[in-house]
Amino acid sequence: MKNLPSPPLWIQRFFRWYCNQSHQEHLEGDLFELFERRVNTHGLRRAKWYYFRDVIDLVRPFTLRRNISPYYPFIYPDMFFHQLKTVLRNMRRNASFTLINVLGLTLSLIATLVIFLKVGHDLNFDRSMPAAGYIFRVLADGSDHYHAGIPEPVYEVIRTNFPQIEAMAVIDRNFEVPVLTITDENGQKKQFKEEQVAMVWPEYLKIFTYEWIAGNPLTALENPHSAVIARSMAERMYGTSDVVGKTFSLNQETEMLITGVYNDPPLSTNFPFLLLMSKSGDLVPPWLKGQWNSFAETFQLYVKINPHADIDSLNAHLAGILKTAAPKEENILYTLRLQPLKDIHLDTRHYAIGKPAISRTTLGALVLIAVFLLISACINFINLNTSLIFQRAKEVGLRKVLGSQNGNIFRFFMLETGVLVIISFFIAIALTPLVLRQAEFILGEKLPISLVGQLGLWPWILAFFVLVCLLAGLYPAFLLSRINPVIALKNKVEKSYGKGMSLRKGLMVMQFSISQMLIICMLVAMQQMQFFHNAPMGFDHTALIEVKTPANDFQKLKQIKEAFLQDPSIRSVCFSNNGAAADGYWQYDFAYLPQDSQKTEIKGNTHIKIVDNDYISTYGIELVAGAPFAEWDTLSYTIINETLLKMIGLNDGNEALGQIITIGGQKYQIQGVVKDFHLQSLHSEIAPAVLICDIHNTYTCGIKIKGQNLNKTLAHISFTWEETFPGNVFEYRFLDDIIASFYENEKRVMELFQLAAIIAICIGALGLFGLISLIAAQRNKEIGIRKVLGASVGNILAIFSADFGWLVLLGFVIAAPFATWAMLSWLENFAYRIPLQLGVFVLALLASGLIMLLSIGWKTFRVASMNPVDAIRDE
Amino acid sequence: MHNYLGQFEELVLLTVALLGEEAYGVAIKDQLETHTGNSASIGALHAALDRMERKGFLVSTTGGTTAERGGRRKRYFSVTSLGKDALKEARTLRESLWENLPPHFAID
Repeated sequence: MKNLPSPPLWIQRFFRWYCNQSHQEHLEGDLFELFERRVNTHGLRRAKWYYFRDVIDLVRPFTLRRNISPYYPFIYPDMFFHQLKTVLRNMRRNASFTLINVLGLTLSLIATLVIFLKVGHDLNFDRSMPAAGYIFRVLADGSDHYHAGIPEPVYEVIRTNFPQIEAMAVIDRNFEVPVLTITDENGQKKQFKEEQVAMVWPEYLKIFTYEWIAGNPLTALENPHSAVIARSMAERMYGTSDVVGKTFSLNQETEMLITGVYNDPPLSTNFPFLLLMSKSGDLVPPWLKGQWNSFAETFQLYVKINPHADIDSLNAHLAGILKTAAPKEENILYTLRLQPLKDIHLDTRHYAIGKPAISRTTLGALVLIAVFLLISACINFINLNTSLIFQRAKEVGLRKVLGSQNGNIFRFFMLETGVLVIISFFIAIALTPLVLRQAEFILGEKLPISLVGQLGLWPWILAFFVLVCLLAGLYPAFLLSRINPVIALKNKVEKSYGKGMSLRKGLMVMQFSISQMLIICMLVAMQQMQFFHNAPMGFDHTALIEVKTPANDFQKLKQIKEAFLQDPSIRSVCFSNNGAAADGYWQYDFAYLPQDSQKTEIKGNTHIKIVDNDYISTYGIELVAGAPFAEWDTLSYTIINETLLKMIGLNDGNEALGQIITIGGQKYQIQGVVKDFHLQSLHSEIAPAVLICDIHNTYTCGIKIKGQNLNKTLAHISFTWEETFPGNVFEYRFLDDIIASFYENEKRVMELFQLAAIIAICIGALGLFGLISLIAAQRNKEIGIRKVLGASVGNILAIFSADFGWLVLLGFVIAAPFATWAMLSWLENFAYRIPLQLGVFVLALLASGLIMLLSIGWKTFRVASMNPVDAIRDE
Repeated sequence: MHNYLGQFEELVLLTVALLGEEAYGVAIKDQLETHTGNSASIGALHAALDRMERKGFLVSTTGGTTAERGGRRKRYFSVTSLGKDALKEARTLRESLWENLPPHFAID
């Protein structure tokens, strides 16, 4: 038999591949018969050639046509329900694995859904606003500074030179949280504080669209002292939304008339204002007027352009306009550009006026974390199900003997995956809104999004469901459906499927590396946070409170300062524009002509702090040369910091004393030099700065407290405050808290990494636990024999942990470079940062090793301490 | 027109009828070749068989397993009464045409 010639195998395979079932057998028979005959008449070579020709000749519609598969649930519902029932029985039989799979999948699905909603929310900011494509923010960017608040003279330049701009409006939030007072019919006064308030130019309502309930948006803010209000706030203040014509008092100073009511702005908007008031009087405060180089980020200009205008030429024109429009003597170091509305929320470089921005990098990191967690859960699924092959082999074998084909078995296992994934999805979708409500601390805002109600989300969720099913189910179903029934029924599967182990190991390495990556990121973020809290700021921020002053009334400030200093538990009091380290800053240009007139004038930008004479002592800033300000107003003197000192080419502070520096066009004499202190958070390098003593432009009162009885002191301060500024609510913040608030974003990143690492560890540990119980059962006999031959429980534990230890180590080798790269680029956001330490990596490796040991320890110990006789005896 | 037979189909159908019980792929092919003197393409032959089976002119049954042909079973075809009608119709059509030919075409 063996010597008989046969047609080439590859051609046979090709024929079997394309030919349908109903024609395969008899056609192959005919081909074979012809071949055998031709071998005798024409010889082997010709016979093979003819065979090939005939196979090609048979590529015809009737051989290619596929019969309808008998497996369509609604054509053969019995089969479908039978399989469903089997699936449920199998799930019950392997209850612990079902639980592990569902738990892991649900955990990662919740995380993924939350991230999915968060990212969707952030990417859709202001997309639904009509005319969103024509609204822009005007930015002024220099080579190393980025301003969203443009200098005041530029407003006029834009208004006169750009006919394409249909409407322009400044949003002004340069004020403290206002107190609104209403008087009801009975003469009772009620006070409200509301944060989401903005002062706007009347044209604001032509640019931004709201759903109006009452009032005319075109005229509502035309008159000074008019306001429009959101429905929810109207209801809160007046108990009704019918409030047009009613009045309220702003900070007990100005009477405002309500001229319109609109529906509350949506959740995803940069302009979440509930109260908009018309800007009256001066458009900007006096210190910004006519200044070509002063930026205040709390005044932002928005424009709406004509839909037919060409945005590129508009931008080009805008970029060059200041070369001709600005006075020659001004040293303009920035260019203007338009930023599309849709980019504003994703731009963290510029100050966000309504809602904090989020960078694309952060969103990318979130998505990556979601993908990691999902992959980790799918790996569990794949590993557990491929390990179950030894237990499921007989079932598959028998099904095949009874006529199931690979495709049927494949679909059966996919159905099993589908059922598990559906269960996980249901749980996750039910729990996600709860998590969203609790996750404010990580997301940075409340997201009251319900999944069920949003029809637009369901196609995404469906697509996501299919993806998870394929990711988790494809490989196990493929592997299980290929089982050879003969081998399965002879109980020989273990030998023939040993190869699958390498893939499983690869997946486990991936899982280990994901959790180690997250652990490393978490540890580095924690260290950096620690650093933020402990790094010296250059000034003393303990026991210091800051209060915003309501008015620049020189007499009252003087009076309250004296009143405070009566209290022995108050060490000192000072007034300044924004304290020591602050979120925002004031910037002016400076010019300095060195004494030896050979050198040219040095020009640049400098931060400016408006302070009083007690500023340096209250904040404990170190003076390296000269003297502190002596009086309340020493307007022609200034104190500079060391960075500015270096910038003007001097090394010794004493050399600078008495020299003249021009700041914002005015000449000042340098009377002192202070050691550098942090003017902003540690994100930024210390900039050049000048201190100018001018009580009239201060907004912050700093109070240094000593002594033990803090509450009593605070009560006294509060009392004095409200006495001096009647109708004003005393609100203070500890400087420590203010400094901590600079790092809220980083804190959130750290918490995100912590949570992600914990979830990844949980999923990984669950999977490992499931896997080890299967492996321990399979290696039962091996353990028995080892024990008979003298192995101790410890030896066996060591064998098992060594297997996984290598995988942990391999995972670490993959994780370390990725985590290093990711964290180095994260740390680059900060001017002051920690170096990456080896200890972090060692700790991450040890931690994941320990977690691995804990997950496998108990099961392994149980198997290892069994009586070997039970394992070896084979009945 | 649905039961119109093409020339090749008619030949194949006749051959199947001729072979009786033994009408399977290779046998039909051999018989066709002896009668026509031309070699028949196996693809064309089976395509015709499949087409006529779906039209209802033929039915097929699978034979028993033998050691021949590598153990692959044969598919035997037989002509149905519908097939027989179609053959008859084709023949009558042709004969009536012959009868109505002008005299100078008569071939004797």
